[in-house]
Amino acid sequence: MIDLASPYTYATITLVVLSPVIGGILMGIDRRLTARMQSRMGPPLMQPFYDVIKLWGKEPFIASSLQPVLAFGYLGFSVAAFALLAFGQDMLLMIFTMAIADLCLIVAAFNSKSPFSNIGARRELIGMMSYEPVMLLAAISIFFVTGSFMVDSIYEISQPLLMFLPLTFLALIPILIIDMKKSPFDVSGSGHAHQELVRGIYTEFSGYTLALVELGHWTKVALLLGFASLFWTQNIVVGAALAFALFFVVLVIDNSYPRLDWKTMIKTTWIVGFLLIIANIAGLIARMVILS
Amino acid sequence: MPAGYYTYLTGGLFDVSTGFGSFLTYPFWIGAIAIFLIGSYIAQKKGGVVKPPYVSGENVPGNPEAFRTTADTQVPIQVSGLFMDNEFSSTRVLSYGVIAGALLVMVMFLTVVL
Repeated sequence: MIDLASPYTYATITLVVLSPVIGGILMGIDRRLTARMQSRMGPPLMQPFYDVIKLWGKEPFIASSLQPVLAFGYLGFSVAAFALLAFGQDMLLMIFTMAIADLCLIVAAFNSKSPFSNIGARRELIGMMSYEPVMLLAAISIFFVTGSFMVDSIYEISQPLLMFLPLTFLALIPILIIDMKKSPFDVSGSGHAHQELVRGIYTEFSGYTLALVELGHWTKVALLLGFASLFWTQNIVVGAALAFALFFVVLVIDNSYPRLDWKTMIKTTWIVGFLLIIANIAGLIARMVILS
Repeated sequence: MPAGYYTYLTGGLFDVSTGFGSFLTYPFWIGAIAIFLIGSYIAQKKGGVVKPPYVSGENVPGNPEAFRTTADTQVPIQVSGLFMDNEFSSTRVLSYGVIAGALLVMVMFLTVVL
């Protein structure tokens, strides 16, 4: 039940509306930390926002008339997925909504006849294929602990989820790497000039459509880190610190590894992700058997 | 309050039993349509000139003002592994994929039902 008289509801709605802003600040931190790791000063923290504001005001060029609608779809469904997380709703629905957001981006990229955009879109599909099953298994492992797929049910357990699912938490690292388009799995498009496609899936976006896609990407980063913070719901500060630690690990990996090909991406994500989560579930079952 | 889907909307002056059922189906569909309507509105408002896609190319020898792109001529090329079609069409990968997919669906079904 949504109680419109409750301040909690308004706080949650504000959080959902501000989710792209949270992601934007994280992107600013990303740029600063990456620059420091490369012995540079880096841009100001708010640089991603300046970029998006500038993009929004640029002369609009589009690859097709459907592209802007799909670009907004990417942002809209990302925000909807974040809303499901913030309101404590179904994790599976959240994952599927996130997938719809990704599909909007992929169809928008396919909508152009640019070969770079098309290859980027195909690689993005492969990226989805890599991390979606791992994400679903992560949700299943949470189900083993809470007995429900509802995010709210995580808040009802007495101990932090991390105590039960430390390996599942580690399995989030490759998921975050693929979704943030960071090395070594930035196969569909990258912010760095160290891969042959560079912008890949983003090639045909410019001006306000690129601004919408950027906002959608920020929201997805905020969403995934929000999901990671669920591993310590007993204290919001510890949960946020946990998510930030994961974010930092991803940045360190990004700055330490070259880009790998899509086959390695699938193999690594499936083998590492599946093994970690299945081992964690097996451990939980063994513990239940011993306790009973 | 036990975890559950938000299917009721309540406020100080009203209490709406949405009748949306136990799942968020209708709100989800309404949200999806709203997203595309807002997207269409923004697209209409901002407009935009449709431009041909970005394609790579090369300078034409002997003519410094000419530029030849990949869209100008059709060149038969043999590509392998680029679009991953060969890999995904192969029976080996496909059979593993089908087995893995079936297992995943079974696990999800069993965790929910049992």
